[in-house]
Amino acid sequence: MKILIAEDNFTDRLILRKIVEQQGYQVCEAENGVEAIEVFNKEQPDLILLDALMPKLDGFNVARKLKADHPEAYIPIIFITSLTETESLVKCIEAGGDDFFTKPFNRVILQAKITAFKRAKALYQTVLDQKQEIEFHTQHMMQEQQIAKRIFDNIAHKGALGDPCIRYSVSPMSVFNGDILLAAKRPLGGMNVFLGDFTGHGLSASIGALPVSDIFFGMTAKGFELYEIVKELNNRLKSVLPVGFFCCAIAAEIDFEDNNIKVWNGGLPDAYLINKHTAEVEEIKSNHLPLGIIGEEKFQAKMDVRPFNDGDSLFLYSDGVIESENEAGELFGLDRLLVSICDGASRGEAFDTVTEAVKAFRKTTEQGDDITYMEIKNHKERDVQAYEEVDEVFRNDGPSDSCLNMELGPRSLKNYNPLPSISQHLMEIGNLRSYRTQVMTIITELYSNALEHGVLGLGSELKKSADGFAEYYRQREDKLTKLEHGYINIKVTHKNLDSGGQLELIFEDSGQGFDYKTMQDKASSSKLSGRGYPLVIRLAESVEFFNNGSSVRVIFSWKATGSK
Amino acid sequence: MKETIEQLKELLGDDFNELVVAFDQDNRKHLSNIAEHIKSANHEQVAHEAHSIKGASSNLGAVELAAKCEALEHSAREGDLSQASELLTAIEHHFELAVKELKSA
Repeated sequence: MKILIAEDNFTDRLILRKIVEQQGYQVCEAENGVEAIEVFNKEQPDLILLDALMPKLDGFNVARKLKADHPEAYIPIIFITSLTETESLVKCIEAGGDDFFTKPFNRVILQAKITAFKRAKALYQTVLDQKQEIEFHTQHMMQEQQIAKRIFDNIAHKGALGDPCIRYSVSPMSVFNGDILLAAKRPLGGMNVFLGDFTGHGLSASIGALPVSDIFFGMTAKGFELYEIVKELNNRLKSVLPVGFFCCAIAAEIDFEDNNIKVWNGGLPDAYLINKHTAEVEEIKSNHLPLGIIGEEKFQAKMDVRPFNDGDSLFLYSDGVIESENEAGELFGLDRLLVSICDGASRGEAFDTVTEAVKAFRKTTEQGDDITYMEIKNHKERDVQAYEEVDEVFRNDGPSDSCLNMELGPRSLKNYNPLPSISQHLMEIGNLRSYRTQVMTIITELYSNALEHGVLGLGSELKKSADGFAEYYRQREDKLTKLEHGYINIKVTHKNLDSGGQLELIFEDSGQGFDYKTMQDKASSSKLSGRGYPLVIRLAESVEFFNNGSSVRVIFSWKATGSK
Repeated sequence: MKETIEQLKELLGDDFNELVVAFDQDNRKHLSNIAEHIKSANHEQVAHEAHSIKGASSNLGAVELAAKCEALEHSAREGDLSQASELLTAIEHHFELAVKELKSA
């Protein structure tokens, strides 16, 4: 340790030097204020004994200059004063002095003071080192998070969040706040959305987001029902997440054709169903445990089915919205949220009114990035999903002539969905995977017709009104639970043709059949729209009925237009 | 004063003589400066020089000398030089005593 002694009086300086040297420290000296600054810059001492009254530049000015020139450094300054200068002690402190030492000199006191400052300096150095270390680690962590985010973005891509029916707000780093927002188009043209809020923050909270998005996108594309997806999400999270970690979530399936919505809310705040025409706001409460808590056998994936008409919208949010703070530390709260939702409800602008309300409330506070909310609207004018023309070279990998025959009895019909495995088989066929949407639409329609109208004998009249859908859904559940007899036989045959192929689908059920002739007449005379057979007729090459309509044969042909 | 001198001799070792010489020379200069500043009625400089002698003498245990210096410094700082010549005489007297004691130590 090196100590600068700035003192104009030779005898005083000599005594000070001897005291300091006796303690084993190095000494450098200055006879006046100007020299003190020169020596300081040259010698970089660790501590200064500074005489208050010196020629050229007094001690106060020396202290002020040194502290101003070296704001980051820890340079303890001990002012040397006479007892009579008590009135100027305040001046010493204001100038940046750390302590005083009075004449006549007391060796023991000075040495004790120096030792104390030496300790303080070591502590300061430790704090400084730790600060640098923390800065290094923080920077390192930020880099890692950015890399992790890039990886995450590739897996949990935006999906269908860009669809015109969706408005959403999500922070760019929200994955590390534990929020996840996903949307995917169903092969039939509907939409699945998912909003999840994992316990905790940071990387640990985001790890569960990877399997969630994987399962959500994968299973939606393969045509699984939402309740099956939710079940699988729960199973996976139960096995992946440590005890005490879980995911509060809302999953919703929007059917734009049949004007209904199925919602599952496990632990998130109420979702709001906004009726644009009546401006009514209906809440969809959480009536399930969050994902990842209970095992498969006890898990409930029962959906809440509600009408969802043109102009209606569904508002979902995670608690970050109501927990966002203003400058005064107040929370935004549920009341403000509800007021802003109701405010925008009749104009169909709830998303905008909420966004403005939160912004106006928070003003400049830039905290709580984990504000995630979305609004999904049923637009009738919205573009019906266009089946994009496929331009792909002819491929004959996978099976080129195959036949799959599957018969499902009553117990299978209760709780097994055969479509994903049929789809998986079909998608291995050369160019057919380019027509996934069309093929999935056809087999999904054929299967639900065979099951609901055939085996279960449900009339389709109920489905025509949005309110009736809930009843239709209830009856379907009920009949399925009580089902004891019946079957569905599915036969899928395909063969490759020149630069393309042909698929034959035969669905036969144990039901009474239906008046297919009237349906065919309507379909051919009027506009081909809506779901069910009209849609199948539009997509397929041919549709033929047998056995009073309880058996149907559909031909779907494809070509690779860009073939050699 | 004796006790302080013993401590200083112990602390300074061979440098004690240097201290004695410096004390003698430096302060003799301060004293002649004071005399001149009294003549020209420069009370601020009188206070400043007295302050310097006060600090050094207190460190050598010359209590009487330090006390007289402080009295002069104090009155000079107030702008009062009426007692200055008398105080200077007393200071010079105590200074010679102190130097004598230092040199004989």
